[in-house]
Amino acid sequence: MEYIKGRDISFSYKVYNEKEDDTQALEVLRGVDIDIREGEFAAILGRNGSGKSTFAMLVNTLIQKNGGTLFVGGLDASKEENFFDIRRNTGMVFQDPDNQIISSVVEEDVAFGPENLGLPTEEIRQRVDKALESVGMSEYAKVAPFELSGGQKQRIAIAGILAMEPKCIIFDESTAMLDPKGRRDVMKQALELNKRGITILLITHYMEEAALAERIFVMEKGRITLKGEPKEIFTQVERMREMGLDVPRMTELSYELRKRGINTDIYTVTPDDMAKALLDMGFTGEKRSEKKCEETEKQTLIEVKNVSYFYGGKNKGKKAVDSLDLKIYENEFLGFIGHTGSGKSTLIQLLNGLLEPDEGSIFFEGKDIFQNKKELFKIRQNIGVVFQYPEYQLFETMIYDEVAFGPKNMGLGQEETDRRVKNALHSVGLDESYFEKSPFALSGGQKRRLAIASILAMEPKVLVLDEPMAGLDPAGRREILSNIKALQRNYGITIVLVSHSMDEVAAVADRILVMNEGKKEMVGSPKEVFENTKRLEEIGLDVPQPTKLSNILKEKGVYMPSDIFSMREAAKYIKSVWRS
Amino acid sequence: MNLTLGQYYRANSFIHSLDPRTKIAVTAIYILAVFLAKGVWGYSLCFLFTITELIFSKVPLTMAVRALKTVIAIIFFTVIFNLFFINTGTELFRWHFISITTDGLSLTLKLCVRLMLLVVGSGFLTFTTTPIALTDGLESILSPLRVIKFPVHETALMMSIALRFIPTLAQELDKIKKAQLSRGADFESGGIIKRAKGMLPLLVPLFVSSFRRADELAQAMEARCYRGGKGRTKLNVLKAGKRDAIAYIFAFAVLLTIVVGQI
Repeated sequence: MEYIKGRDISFSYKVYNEKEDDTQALEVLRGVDIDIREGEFAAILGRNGSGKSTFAMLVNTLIQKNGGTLFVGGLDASKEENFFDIRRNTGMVFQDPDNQIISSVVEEDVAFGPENLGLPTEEIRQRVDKALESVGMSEYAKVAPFELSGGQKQRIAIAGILAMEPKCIIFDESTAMLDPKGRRDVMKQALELNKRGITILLITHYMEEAALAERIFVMEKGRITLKGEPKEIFTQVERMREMGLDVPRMTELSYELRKRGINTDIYTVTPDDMAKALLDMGFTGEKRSEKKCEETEKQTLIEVKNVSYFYGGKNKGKKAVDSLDLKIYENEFLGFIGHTGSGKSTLIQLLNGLLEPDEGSIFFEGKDIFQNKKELFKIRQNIGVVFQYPEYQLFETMIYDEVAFGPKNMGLGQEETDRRVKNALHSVGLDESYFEKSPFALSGGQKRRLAIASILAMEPKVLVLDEPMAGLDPAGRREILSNIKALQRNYGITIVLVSHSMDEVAAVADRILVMNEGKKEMVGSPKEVFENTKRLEEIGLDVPQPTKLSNILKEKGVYMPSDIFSMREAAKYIKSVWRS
Repeated sequence: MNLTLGQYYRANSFIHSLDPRTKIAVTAIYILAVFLAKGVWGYSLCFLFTITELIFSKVPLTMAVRALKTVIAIIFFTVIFNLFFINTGTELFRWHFISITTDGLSLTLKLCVRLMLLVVGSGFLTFTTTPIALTDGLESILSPLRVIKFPVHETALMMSIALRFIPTLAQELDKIKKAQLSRGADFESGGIIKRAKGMLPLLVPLFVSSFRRADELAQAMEARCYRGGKGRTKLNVLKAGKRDAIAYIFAFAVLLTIVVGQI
């Protein structure tokens, strides 16, 4: 039986058009047909703005459709008398963990749903305890949610829904703001709940997560244009790319191999399966000389010398950054990885003088940045920081002014400001037609690029970016990433990139710094770093998929270089040593 | 960032375990007692009450006394005005137009003691009660106001959501401030107008984000079947027990002694 059954659903809302001084209907969903079976694990993929979240809210009766029919658990979702029953049976975990926690005490938050259902006190207690236990958070029952990590908060949100004993849970990009461990924990929860018979609807931008589903629906501009088992969906590699989406990395490798005449099973998701397929086909590997990093004379731009920073003021509380040494070279691309709370964010703020080290010093071009505090603003111009979700710092009414804010603060003249604003906007792909628009009228990815431009306009020598791809769809991620790479190549800017995506960091970075508990765990080329797979997993991180493949093959005594992070390169290598 | 709200002191004590309603009521009785006390014996009794609170709450003495810091200015001005401008009674000291009299001295002393007793004694309410329990207690105490259509539940919920979001928004403000500093913003120099203008890059993003959060929170609440206070039950129902009875008896005993004994 279907749990969610929709026919020809349409949804639109009215937007005000300034030019024509009139309201226009903006169509978000147009003719969506969907059936999600009871007990099924279904995933919805689609670009930002394709209508996925709107659909989720329709299912939860938080908004009302304009046309078509929608039944949830056999109840008509357009009838107000059904709202309560639909909501109690259909829980929803949202993207931002902070905005769905109501109480300042964990157990009271979990109790919020059952309280609304009007259950007796003893039963609420039982359900809360059970729910917290099943997400592994019992020991945090009395804790304040703001003391928890993002992944833990999402587990609390899941517990809050479980306590209502739902039949279906919708995950609306619930893993988007989490680190690798948080993501794994949430996905593990979802799979376990599905085993217990709960219908799961997963909305995500991570293809590897979607591959765990029984069926995938792909949404494109308010329509469902593809549906089927993951295998049927992900084997259409070109089609998925055209839609701005992606396929799991091993599927991509398979696709590249088949292009080169090596016919591995086209639908391969895990490195294990890929390794097995290659071995079965008689792949023996062949040692080749690994590319040596050219040892060129590198100029040190920033030097961090034995820096410590305490959470609660000097010598008080835990060390957020602990006796850290680091050199950042001119025009290099340095990746920062580490779990939430490992000290990455603190380190970034130390780098441009937003925080003052409690011990040690930081040198920029040989000068201690805190030597003259009045000159700090010059340091901040030279070391530009793009914080997480930078679109939330936008405040001007016009895009041009937003970017001009930095140069004006530097006291630059009209002409120079104008030149810099134009250059900065062009370099992130926003042309003149945008200059007079409101920053708030842009799409998520565009806002992000605008925020980057607002830092670029100060013409920094170093650009530090904290999770610049978070929450974007695959095409948006690719775009930002290639944009950043171009800044390094074409403008000579030194890049520091903080990311939770190991695959992406490995593909673009020259060197990677791994942080753990405020300490430098290791630093080196992607190859050197990711060869320590065990250690990285121990500290809550992950390694890129190609590294996993290389590890598995090596265990079987088959050589596969560990410095290849692009699937095309991997396929080329395999082809070059292929004998059959 | 470490954000402890209010001044809650985490401990496991007799007073901590009381029903928040009891603590609110007892604090009210205590305040009344301090105002009705007339002389040395009355104040001594109130002092005894405060000492009892200190012992049974396990709150460190330094923390309890620290509350006085906030009212030090008020105490200072009370002293000045009463000491110098009350001219009845026997004169003790005179310098130009300033004179200190016996009446002035005794009234000043009384006022100071009263103020200090009030501040320190009532401080234990917030030391031993979490903001959320306080909200719960107030909701319960104010619930009769429902008769006159006062939105008791909604007010309490608003208060607790506000409490819940203070750390979140404080963190957010800190983040926005740092982001704008990185763009060369200057929040410290310049005249009033320049500074007020300089606040825009902070306030606009903070407002935008607060609205977004409020909107998302409302959705999350509705998705979890929230539809107002009607028909809601509670996980932690406030229940007064033996301990609360002891607290009430003690408080009333102090009050009655002061009223009846006119001390």
